[in-house]
Amino acid sequence: MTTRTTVVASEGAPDPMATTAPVLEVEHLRVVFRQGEKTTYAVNDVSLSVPLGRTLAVIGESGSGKSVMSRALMGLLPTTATITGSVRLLGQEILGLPENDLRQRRGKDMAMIFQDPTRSLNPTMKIGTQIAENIRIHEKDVSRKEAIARAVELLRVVRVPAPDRRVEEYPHQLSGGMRQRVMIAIALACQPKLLIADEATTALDVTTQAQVMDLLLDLQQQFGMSMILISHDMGIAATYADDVAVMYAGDVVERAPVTELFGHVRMPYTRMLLDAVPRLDRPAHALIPVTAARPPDLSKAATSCRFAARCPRVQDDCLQTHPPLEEHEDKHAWACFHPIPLERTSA
Amino acid sequence: MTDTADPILEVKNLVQQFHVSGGTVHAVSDISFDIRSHETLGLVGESGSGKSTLARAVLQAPSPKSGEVWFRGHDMTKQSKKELFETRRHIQTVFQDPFSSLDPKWTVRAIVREPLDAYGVGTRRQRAEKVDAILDMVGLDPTSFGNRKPPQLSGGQCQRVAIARALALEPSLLIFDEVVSALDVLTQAHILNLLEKLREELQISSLFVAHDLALVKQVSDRVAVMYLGRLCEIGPAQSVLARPRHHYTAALVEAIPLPDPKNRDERRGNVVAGEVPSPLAPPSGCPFRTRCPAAQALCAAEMPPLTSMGPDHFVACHFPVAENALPASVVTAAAA
Repeated sequence: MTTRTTVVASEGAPDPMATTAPVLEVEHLRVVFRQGEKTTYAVNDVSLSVPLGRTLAVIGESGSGKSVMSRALMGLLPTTATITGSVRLLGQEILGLPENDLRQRRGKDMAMIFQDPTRSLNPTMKIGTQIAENIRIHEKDVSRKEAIARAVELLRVVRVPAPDRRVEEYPHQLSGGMRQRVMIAIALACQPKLLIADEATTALDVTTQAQVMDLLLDLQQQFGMSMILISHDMGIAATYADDVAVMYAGDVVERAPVTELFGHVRMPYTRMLLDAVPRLDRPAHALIPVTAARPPDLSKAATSCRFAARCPRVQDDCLQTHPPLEEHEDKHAWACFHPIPLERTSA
Repeated sequence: MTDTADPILEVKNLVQQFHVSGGTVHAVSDISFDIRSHETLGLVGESGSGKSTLARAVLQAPSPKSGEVWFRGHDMTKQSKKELFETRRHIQTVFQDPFSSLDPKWTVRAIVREPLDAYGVGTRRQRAEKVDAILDMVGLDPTSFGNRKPPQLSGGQCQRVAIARALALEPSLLIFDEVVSALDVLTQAHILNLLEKLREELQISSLFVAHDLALVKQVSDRVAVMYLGRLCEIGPAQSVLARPRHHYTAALVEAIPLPDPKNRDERRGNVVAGEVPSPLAPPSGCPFRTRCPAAQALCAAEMPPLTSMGPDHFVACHFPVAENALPASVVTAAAA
């Protein structure tokens, strides 16, 4: 297993911060929505940690709970949500903080960018004013003029061409890729320690997506940020993340450093998801191995494995007990009683 | 293109333009290609490349500004409304958004039966039987789904209904416009498997329009790449995507985030710069020259014609990518 250790160690660069506390620590996070008679168990007992300067990709399909989880971290869920567990940002518990305190942390310590920049930007306000406003919310002593100057600088940092002209423009005058850069500039305005990108490049074309992802990785190094990439795209995880967590029906079902995860998939759901991704190396007209099933019922708390109904490796115990996420190997955790044996998983 | 092994559709010098307040949108500029019997031609390009406009111009919805579209011995651009109605029976389309392309108040059976009613196919009873048989074929049990309405269906199920409707008239050409882009990856896999099954069983030819290169590679025999209204490259999927000769195709292939972390450092940070210019004012000459690493003065002066690069492989580039110029990691991934 020497080769494997080398691979893991070489990726994500040396980690001098390994000994310091993680930027974000999530423990036993649960989110339950109650609306009238209807209960939805959206996130179940999720524990994650993001060390300084590292990127965690949270991968899942729609309904997996990945976006609900990220909004829970940011304190952006509606009041119908009951959130329990613990979320520590830079060592301080932020779950249950009053809205005012939380608002101070958002933007300053952690920021988020979303899929659709058109809906996040104010169409009636100049780009520069929107960035400047965000700076002045967190730094009261900064003058308007100074804030605009910093906005120009930020646009330069996110590689928007002709930034001094762009600050005077409105969102509709920019392309989708440029608008997402503006969102990144706003998110970076106060140099957060943690940036959450929720499907931030999903709506972009593939070349623009690559440009924005490269930019995010550069900025991460420059500012020493940690990042969480929320995505449905296994390619994004494989290409840009240091660590990967795969979610299914509200559970994290597998979690490992990126090379370990893609090299030795253990959870059958991860395997199925990976096999379903269109690939350049699959022969034309090849069928994709995927089993049909109804989406899992999230109105009841899990009493069995949520993936059992479509799992090719299902056995009796999967239907009786909910498998917990446990670290079975160094840094590699999975929630499965009958994981794929090692020799058969290498890609 | 000399090799015309039995084309079912031939598009010649197609041009589509739209007049807007800011000027003229050059959506499709002088495009020629064919689709052969029993083949799937993939059409890729980023948003604004004109790929959907091209697909619609083929259907004469709306008719192109100039050019010819030959199907079953007729130039569709010259056909009368009545003749077109007959031709369209053989060309059916499935669009990206199943929710907006299906009437929410109609039952699944009524939706699939509608084209049969419109063309007066068979007796009432024969039509009803046919509808159930097609629903079965697309994997929807007619007894449990036949009387449901679109809002009671998932995205994948809606897309199956749309496919069933397209199959009702037994078309010889299907046009798929981003049919799986809105679906989750597992649902997408199910629909792709269904399309493969139908292709095998019904021997249909199709035009598969999508922005996802890997997806197109998986379903297509040949691939055409569009940029800013022009055809850059067309040829066998294998050679176009494993050994692209147009710099834009190469840039697209390199930008795909592969689901494999191996060699990712050499893939990252190697992205083509810049943005797609406005179709209101496309660059002179080659439309990609403003972003192309190999651009020279000639590229601004003259639009490069499609030139043969190998068996059935054509490229519109004055200075094509050298063979095997892509990083080995990308080539091996695409060549398998």
